[in-house]
Amino acid sequence: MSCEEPTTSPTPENNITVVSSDGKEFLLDLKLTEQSETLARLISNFEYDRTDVKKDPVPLGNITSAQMQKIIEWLQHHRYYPKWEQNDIHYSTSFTFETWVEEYLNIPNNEMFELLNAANYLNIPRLFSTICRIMASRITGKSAEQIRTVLNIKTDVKNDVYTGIPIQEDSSSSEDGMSEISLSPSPPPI
Amino acid sequence: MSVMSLIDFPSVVLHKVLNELDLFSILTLRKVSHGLRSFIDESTQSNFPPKIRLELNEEFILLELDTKTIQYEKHQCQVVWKKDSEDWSRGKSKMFEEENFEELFLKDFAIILKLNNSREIECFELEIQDIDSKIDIISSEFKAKEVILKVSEPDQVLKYLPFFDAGILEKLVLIEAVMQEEEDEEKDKERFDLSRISKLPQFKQAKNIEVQGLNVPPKIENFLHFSTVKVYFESVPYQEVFLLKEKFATSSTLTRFEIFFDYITDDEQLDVVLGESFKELDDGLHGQERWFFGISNCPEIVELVITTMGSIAYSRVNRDSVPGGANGCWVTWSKADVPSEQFQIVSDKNVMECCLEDLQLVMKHHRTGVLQSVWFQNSEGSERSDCMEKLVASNAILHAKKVSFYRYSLKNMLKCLPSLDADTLENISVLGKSKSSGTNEAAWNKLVKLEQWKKAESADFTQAGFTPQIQDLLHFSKT
Repeated sequence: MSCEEPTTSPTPENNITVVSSDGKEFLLDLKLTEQSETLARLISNFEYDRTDVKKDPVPLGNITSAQMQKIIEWLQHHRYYPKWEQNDIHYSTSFTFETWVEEYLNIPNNEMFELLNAANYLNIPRLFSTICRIMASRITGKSAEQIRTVLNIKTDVKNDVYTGIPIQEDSSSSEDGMSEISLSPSPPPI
Repeated sequence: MSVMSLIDFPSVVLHKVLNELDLFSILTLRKVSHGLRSFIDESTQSNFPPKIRLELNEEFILLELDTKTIQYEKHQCQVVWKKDSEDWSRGKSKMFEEENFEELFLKDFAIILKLNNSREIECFELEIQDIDSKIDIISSEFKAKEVILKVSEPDQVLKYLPFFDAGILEKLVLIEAVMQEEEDEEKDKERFDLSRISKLPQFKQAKNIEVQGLNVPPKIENFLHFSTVKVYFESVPYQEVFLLKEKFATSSTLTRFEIFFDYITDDEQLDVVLGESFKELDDGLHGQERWFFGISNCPEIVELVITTMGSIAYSRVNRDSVPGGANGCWVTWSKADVPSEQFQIVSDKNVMECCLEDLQLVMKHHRTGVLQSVWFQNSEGSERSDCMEKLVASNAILHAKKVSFYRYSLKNMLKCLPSLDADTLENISVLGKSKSSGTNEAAWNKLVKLEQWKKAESADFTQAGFTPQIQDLLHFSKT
């Protein structure tokens, strides 16, 4: 198991302790923290990679222990992956994922959004980018109505929730937005 | 805990998600909620499709974006859309009976352009089949690197080309629009007048141009400022082909100029004005003629290829890629006392022409008109004699007192001697063996009958590869 219960023994040299918002402590291998730009910078600033420096637990105020657990699972899986490279200009979106990733992200939307937020906060580019792609893959090919469900958007555009007034359209020809072409690209009936 | 939604995220997250989506998904997202719509409208999409294709027809307007095609039909104002890969029968449709198809299209197109946020796209293709189309596609300058206009009249180019940002436009393609009603008529095409179009900044500033199918006047002057040109002329006057040679060589912009033609008027004149084309045996290139011309003060060579398929192509090629013996050569010279200091020029004549011309100049302007000595040297192992044949054929006469042949065979000496003025020649010397040494009796017999041989006063033979016959040397005062 990637995460360990807090121990009372002295902190090993190559670990740091992070504390989730609900007060739970996690011992993190320094090697794993390399994937998080936020943690890596913190460790380098405080010189936590040195054996003679006293390491204080790092509070992660907006990450719950459940999210932390999930994130450590990700870090552990990608421990030996090459460093994440920024997309080059020829980057084109691909909606195919490793089986492991698909299973890992086979979670309710709520959890996914929270995980995305955590990945953004900890600056784990590979995780952040993967979740964005997964979300994009869930939006692509859906109608506006289906997207509202996917994105947890409860309000409807047809009548503004606050005013009750129908929303002004760009194109008078359709009930919402463009001439529906909008091309609502849901797959045609087979 | 409240349920989190996509819009609650920091904009960096939303941007990232939007960047993973194609334009159509983003257009759909705009309809999802107010928040998303305003976010999308304010942000810049990096994934705007690189190419837009638009077809304006009397009965419909076709818009191709990304992998989707949308057709706005006049009849009942039906809008049909499908994916590129799909057949129309699998597409979707919707009717807007109270609407006008052109207005409907313009509304949608305005949204699409808004998303583009006036950023550069690779290519915009516009085909105009409806001559009276009232569509003014773009209100301001549109940034496209390549613009393809399929038109039938210059007025259409004049109407639509100014929409495109001249500073961004690199390549302009003008193609004849396919007009259905004219298909079975074989009438002569009307001239496609370029005079007003060529005044547009888009035309002046673009680097590359292609003109296909339109009957533009065969005047190269319209195209000389481009870098690459592909143009169709129904007929090309040979004078234009020749004029282009001059213009091309001196142009600082042109790198390639291709003309596709049905015929060249007075094409037999081409060989006269361009000179003989370069011929190479077994070069595997059939149906084409090639010329090479040097450019003064430039290491590049102009290559001209005319094919029987109806194309003329001028291009600049590297000196190294010009086959040996082709037109154009380097001339290198130095002073005898400072051999390290070399001078070089490129001549547009071939080796022999260049050499003969210089020889004639030397003879013409020589102080006494008679050279002390002429030295013929055969390069190591070379037995090519076409140079000498040309020398003799050129009727150039060298006035010299002495001629030396170094490593020359009898046969080749026989070819050279007639070019020397028998009246001035006093001494003939032969040095070194030629590769095909040995006494060639027939050649010797001819040699001794030459006036130059008979009139000369002395002859030297040093390590010559043949034995002269004594009786033929008796008339010399010194041997």
